[in-house]
Amino acid sequence: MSNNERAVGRVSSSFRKASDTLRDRPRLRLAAIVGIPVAFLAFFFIGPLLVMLWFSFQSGMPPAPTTLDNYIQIISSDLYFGIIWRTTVITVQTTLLATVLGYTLAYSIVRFSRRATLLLVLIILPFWTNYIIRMYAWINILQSGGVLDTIMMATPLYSEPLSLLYSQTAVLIGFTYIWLPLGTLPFYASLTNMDTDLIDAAKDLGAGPLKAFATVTLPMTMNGIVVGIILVAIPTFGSFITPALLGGTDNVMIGMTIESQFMEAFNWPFGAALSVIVSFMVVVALLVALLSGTDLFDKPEESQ
Amino acid sequence: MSIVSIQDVRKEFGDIVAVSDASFDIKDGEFVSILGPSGSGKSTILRMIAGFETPTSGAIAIDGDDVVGVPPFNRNVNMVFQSLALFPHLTVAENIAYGLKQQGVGKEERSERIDEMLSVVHLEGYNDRMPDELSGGEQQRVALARAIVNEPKIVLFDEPLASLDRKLRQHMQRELQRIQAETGITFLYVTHDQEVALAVSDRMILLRDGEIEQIGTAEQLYDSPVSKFVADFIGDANDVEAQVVDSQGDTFTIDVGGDHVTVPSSVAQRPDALSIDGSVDVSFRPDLLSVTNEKPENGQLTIGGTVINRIYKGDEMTFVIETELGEITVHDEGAFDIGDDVAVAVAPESVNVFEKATPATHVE
Repeated sequence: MSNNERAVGRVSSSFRKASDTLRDRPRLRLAAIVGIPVAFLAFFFIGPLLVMLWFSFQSGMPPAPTTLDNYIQIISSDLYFGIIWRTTVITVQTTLLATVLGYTLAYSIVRFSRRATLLLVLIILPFWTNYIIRMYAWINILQSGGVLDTIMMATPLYSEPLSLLYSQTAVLIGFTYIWLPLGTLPFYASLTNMDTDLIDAAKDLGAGPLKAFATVTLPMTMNGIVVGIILVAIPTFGSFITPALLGGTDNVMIGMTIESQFMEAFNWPFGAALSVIVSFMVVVALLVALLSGTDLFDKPEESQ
Repeated sequence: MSIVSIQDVRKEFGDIVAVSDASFDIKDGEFVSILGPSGSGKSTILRMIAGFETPTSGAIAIDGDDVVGVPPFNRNVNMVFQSLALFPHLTVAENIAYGLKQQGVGKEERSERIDEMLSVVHLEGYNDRMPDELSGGEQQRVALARAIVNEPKIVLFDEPLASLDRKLRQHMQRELQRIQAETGITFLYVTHDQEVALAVSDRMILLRDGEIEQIGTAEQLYDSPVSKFVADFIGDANDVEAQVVDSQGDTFTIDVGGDHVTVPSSVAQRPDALSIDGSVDVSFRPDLLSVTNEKPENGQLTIGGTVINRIYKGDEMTFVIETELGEITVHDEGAFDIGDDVAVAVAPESVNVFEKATPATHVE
């Protein structure tokens, strides 16, 4: 037996010993399986969050005395409340647009198309191009005298340029474009998982197409809808590149404010406090969505 | 009075003819099966009656009204789907209430009729259960209750019992018959399983490649099949080839493997189509044959062979006998062993004679 084979034999026998040990100890087995991902999350995710939390109570770059000033400043100022409110409005509008469009798109692909795979690839394809490059393409399209204006003014409908760039509309267009795949795929998944016999059954029992959609398809795909809303709403809420490039100075969102606190004002404690507030809001919204989501899924209609 | 009337209905999907020129009537209160191998067009006929498919040509009338072009939600028929298609997000009571709600039946009447239905299908007290908490048989009952609570003109079944095990399926067959007798609603049941069709239905419509091969009661189809296909599909049959050698008017003589036997012309569905010296298919039922090692009676057809298998069936045996005409299956009593040389005796009046079968022309 060569050295190599002996080494392999040793390794495999110690493997066997380890697996025998683990088989009799379910807790140890669980720890061995989830230990590595938990450690990873603790070090790279929970750790930085705690650092940020700690930073948000500092009065300046550490070492500095602990203070609540950062939070007091945010809460007492109309400026930050205004920015968070605007961010919320844009997030709700984006989520609404992306989920309604995404659901419609997913529905037509699942129900009416024979080339589902091709269409899905086309939807995902833009992801392969850099985000920033795609945003610059939108600048080109939306700017005064840009592609959109040129096309629209060639029609008899418009004589003035639309000049959409640096408006809330531009931000919404950008977000909807960017997040549409995220708003389509969960709906696609839940629609393909749904047995189409259920729709036939609803019609057979006397429900017209709209009634069948509202009473069967919609409640059956509610889980996918909640997932789609979460996937679109959370990145929109924290986003800073799209509003910075397409929104100009009038459409500042909270992500841009946080970024400038860290990168321009170098007021890390204040940026950290803003981040903590944003994270808190997202976690609360997520919990509400998950709770209402499971609720909707379990009893979508009052029992009678 | 006929509750469903199908006239020359044809359905094409692209180049494929799923149903060609089918015509039949179903009487009020009848229990009819549409029977056929998979791909024979039986589900398509059902879906055309339900309104999910529109015939390419022909007429469909339900209770005298032409329904071609009427969408499913405006037809007074209900379907029990193969997958059952119970709404998984609704309780048993809500599932049954679904059709009543669409009709605008009030809440109190709804709950009365739901309870009444649950007692018809023997599921009292199941109102608030969810479909995934029920067994397969219970789900079948809910699906049936959801259909008949609407008091439709006809309930259509798309092989809903196929997924059940044999014992439960036989139990549900008897339940279907009981519920049909209790409610008096017309049932149209589609299946590929001749056992189910023979067990439950008053009449059967046998389909082959989109065409109706034969319509009749179980006895008619079993005793007087119009073709080799029907003989093979309904019950078991042994098939051999033969030649017509002579015709005497009300009898004719055929040559089966060298033996001549004279059979009454009534054993052929279309005696006129048989020509002298023409090839014919002869089929005989395993339970009308006997195994013997004695000298056969005069006039009987005997085919010599060797027992190659014997299966114990309780009250009788199934013998498989290797003959020069092929393997022949016989249900009979007797103490024959594998390897014994025996003869299969066939009574002339128990055979069925068909003109040579035309092969299937189109395949789905």
